[in-house]
Amino acid sequence: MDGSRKEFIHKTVAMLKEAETSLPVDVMAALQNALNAETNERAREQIKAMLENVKFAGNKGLPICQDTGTPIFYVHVGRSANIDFDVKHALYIAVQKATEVIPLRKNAVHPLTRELEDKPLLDVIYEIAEGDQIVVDLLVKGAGSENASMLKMLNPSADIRKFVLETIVAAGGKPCPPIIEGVGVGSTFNGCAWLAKKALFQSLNKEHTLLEERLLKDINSLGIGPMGLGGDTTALKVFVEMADCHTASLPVAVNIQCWANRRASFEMGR
Amino acid sequence: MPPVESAIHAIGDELFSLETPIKISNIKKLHVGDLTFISGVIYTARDKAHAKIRRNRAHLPFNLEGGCIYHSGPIIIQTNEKYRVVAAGPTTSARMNEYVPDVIKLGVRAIIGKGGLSDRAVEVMKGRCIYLAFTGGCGALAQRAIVDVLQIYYPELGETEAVWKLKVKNFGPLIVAIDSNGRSLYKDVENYSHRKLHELLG
Repeated sequence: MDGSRKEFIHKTVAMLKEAETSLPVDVMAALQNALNAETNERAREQIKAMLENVKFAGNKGLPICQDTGTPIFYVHVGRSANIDFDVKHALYIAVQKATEVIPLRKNAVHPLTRELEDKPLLDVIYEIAEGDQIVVDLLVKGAGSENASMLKMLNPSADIRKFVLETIVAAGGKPCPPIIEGVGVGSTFNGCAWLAKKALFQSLNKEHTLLEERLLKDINSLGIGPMGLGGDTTALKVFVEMADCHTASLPVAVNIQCWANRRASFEMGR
Repeated sequence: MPPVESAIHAIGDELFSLETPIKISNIKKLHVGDLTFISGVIYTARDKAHAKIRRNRAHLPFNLEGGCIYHSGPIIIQTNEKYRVVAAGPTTSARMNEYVPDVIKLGVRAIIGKGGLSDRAVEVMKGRCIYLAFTGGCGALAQRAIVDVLQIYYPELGETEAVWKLKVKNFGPLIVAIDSNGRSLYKDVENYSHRKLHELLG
């Protein structure tokens, strides 16, 4: 059915536009709360610039950041959804369109030659869900924060908190703090990385667990602050996702997202 | 935003705005932690542009004497023969650490970026150049302060990696993160966070 493919592409382009040119309400509220609580004057200037930037970008319909990132599509396919088109190809076409109309930066290069590839860059993860709908969640991920992310196969007796905090200290101002941190604990090498990334799709309004609360408190005591220039606000949120793992393993992944936590979603019925 | 009419303006007790070409005497007036803005001409340069500047340093098509380099890979599109800036926030400066001595030799007096530079780069900058931190992710604020796209150099590197000569007015807010005395805000923060980490893991 060509109509549903067209609708899907149209909705994906609109979702990309929303994500790239605005921030979700929960992220704006978290930044505003951070500004109110921040005691460091320089840090306050940084957060004020962030808030002003988002407002200005929104009014002008411009991307918040010139690193328009890699769009990560988390596609939930309903068990009885009737999809008769190539979803990955439709997403590819949508990113290509969005790159022209928003516009987005062409970020794809060959990994070895580093030559610019004239094609869109995207990541797609599928999950089978209940129902007859297709739900697409989008996370836009810049390179600065992705580059500061880390995965380690720890010794089962090792200290997870130590690895998490060391990763944040090593990252300093590079991932554009205040960050949102996704921590994956358990599963397998690849499963753990996905747990950490999946965590970042969540609303910042979600309540912290005790472990998350403790990690957030520790991270914010490090004094790194917005953009690594010092301050009380290094992280806005910590999400920990866990899964069982092999008795001899302890995979831990820290996936860092910048303050410009660009997310959007859409759903499409049968 | 503060008005900028001459080389330097005192705004309140602390705020000075820079204008290009930048005089050494003016960068010496700025200290770590100060808030500032810049007006005049700035040149964008990322990894590939720096490599090219190093290779072609004897015959550059632009003059960096008293100049300002901006670590940024902007989105700039061409419509009807005219360039339009879409977004132009800063990129991570650490990737350009090894090129700092090259641009200093060419007379660069200010580097705008995010995340800071290595100890070695800071050492080379002493007395000659300052580092100004611009808030990461603020591509739209940067766009607002760019009043004209004057020229593109090395277009073969692509729009992101090319050198763009930009006319800016009150570009910022910028924080003096490395001053001409070689004091680095990042170093202070790094030392503090390492000490804190040690305490936490005790």
